[in-house]
Amino acid sequence: MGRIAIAGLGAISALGTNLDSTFLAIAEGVDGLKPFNEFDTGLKAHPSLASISQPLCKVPFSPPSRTAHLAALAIQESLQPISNRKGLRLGLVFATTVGGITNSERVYQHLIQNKISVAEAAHGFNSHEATSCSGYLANMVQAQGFYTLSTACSSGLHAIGMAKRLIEQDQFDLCLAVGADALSLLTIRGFAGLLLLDAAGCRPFDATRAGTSLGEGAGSMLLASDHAMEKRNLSSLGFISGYGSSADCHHMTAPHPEGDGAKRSVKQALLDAQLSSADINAIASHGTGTPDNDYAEIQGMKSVFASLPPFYSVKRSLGHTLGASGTLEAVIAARCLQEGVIPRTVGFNQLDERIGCAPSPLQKTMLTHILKNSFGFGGNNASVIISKSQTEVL
Amino acid sequence: MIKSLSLSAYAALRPLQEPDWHTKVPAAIKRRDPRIWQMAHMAVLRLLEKGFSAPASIITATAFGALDETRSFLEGVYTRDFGSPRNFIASVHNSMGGKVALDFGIRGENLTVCDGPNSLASALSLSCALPASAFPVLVLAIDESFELLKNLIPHMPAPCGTWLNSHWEESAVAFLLTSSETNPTKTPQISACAPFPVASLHCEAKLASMCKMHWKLQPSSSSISVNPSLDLIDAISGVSNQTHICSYSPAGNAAAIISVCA
Repeated sequence: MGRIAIAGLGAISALGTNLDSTFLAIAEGVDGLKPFNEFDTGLKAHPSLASISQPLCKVPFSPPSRTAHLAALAIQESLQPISNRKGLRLGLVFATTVGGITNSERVYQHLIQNKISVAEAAHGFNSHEATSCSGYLANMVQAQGFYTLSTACSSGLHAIGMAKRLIEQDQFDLCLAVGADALSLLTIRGFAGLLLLDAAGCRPFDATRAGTSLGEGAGSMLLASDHAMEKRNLSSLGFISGYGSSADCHHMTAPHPEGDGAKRSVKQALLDAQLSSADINAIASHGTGTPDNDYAEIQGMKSVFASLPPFYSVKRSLGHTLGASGTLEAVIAARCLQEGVIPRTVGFNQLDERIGCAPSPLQKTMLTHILKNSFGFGGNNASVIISKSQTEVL
Repeated sequence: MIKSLSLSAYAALRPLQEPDWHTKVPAAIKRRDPRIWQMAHMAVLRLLEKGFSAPASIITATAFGALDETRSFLEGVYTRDFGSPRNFIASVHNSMGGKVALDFGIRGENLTVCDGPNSLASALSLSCALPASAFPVLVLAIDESFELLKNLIPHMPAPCGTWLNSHWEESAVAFLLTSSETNPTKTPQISACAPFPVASLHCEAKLASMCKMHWKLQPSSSSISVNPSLDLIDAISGVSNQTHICSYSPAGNAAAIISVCA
């Protein structure tokens, strides 16, 4: 299929409250992890997390949850290039894993500790559903239609891929792909229980890596049809040229050891973009820092690329923002493409002989196509290719 | 322009109507899997037992996901300072889709949509955006009822409570869909729109009126479905004469419509 233009980008993360500040910190290799004390996790060893500690700016109406609030801020930034949307059909694909659980998990705690009645709990449970976030956002931007995706850590990248398809299918002229997740007790304790949190902070692809680090944030990408770009005289910030997805069918949490699902996802994205693997200049990896995931990801990439392009992970800087990660990291990859920057992988120090290759050092270079990968629980894989131009420059 | 889909087959599991359903669950699955995974497995098994080969991809439609697993995990954390990893793994919204893919070897696209009662419309609408290689696609509409939810629902404020209190029934319904372009046979044709925001509307009558206005629906089809997947089955099988199934999500303050041409 064709390439769909990126008309707007927005981000909020532990590194900054907009894309400029987030990207600058990424390019400078800032470590986004800090001791977490927003609420009591009950863990004996306090994990370092990439939380947003400053108060969030106000947004229209009253967001039903912190997740929705983060998403609203990223959306506002990504919509800045287009002041007049009259006559254009706007869609929204929203991705999250926790949705409004930051509210309901506290309500449930109070309920089982008999601090509140069932009736009081019922009121607090109202904003639990993921669609409470997307419905709020769709009403905020007056979208003509919206979808709520939740496929664990791959959710955000699927949102971009599906937004591309919805424009290609002429459902919408403009489509926001938005991923957001707030830090919650559920995810912190869940990852800790699975022994997936590295007490020393995540070290993607490093020989001594021992797990990931969680974060919170949101990314928003406004995609636009050629017609919309022309009608509103918008400047493109890059193009989404390919999307692929697959299921591992291997295990509910562990990736396929040879990265089979990841390989099929990337190949599908290349096919969709009508590109060969040699066209890819850099890989914005999923790179969580867990021993199995990083190994499987590189195995999968080695089976696609005859010569592995430079790759990097921003998980130490942003934390693993789960449902937001695909969108947020793709937003940053799009800016990397514009600026010709391949960031260094903060936390990486020592080559893992088993992986056999190291992530890229900081590079200023000409970039044409970046591959972004996201993988999630349930063996869920997504790949998106972000390109600088609508057509190949020969 | 919304494309339509051909419905090749469907199968439903309705625990309220078949209280002994779990006796038919394969023993290994019954031992290990959460109840909602078992519901998902049985619905898909029933579909494929009709002689269809495994679908290429799956879209799961669910309002709450495996919420009882989330509850169990948090209960463990709050009362014993230990949340079971098994509960956490199952608690992600896409755990049913992941497990069904694993059980039945579905290696293609695997999406989960969570738009409350509009989830089925979301899944059907997104199916239209899948590439040809993703067909046949399995759409699995699933939500379960459990003790906490039953206790909370009567106390939920309107409009959530009003909707949930009415006639909601837990179920797992599996639909096997092909693209209408590749299967122009006499199978029922289905199309759906994405959920759309319903600003400042909290009244079912107003919503029904808006649906009629925007979608030119017949008055007979303007009621709001609380069980879109079960109503879709009734429409396809001729139990009802509905041609449009309207759903409304109180949490998202949004509506959606599924159209059927049987």
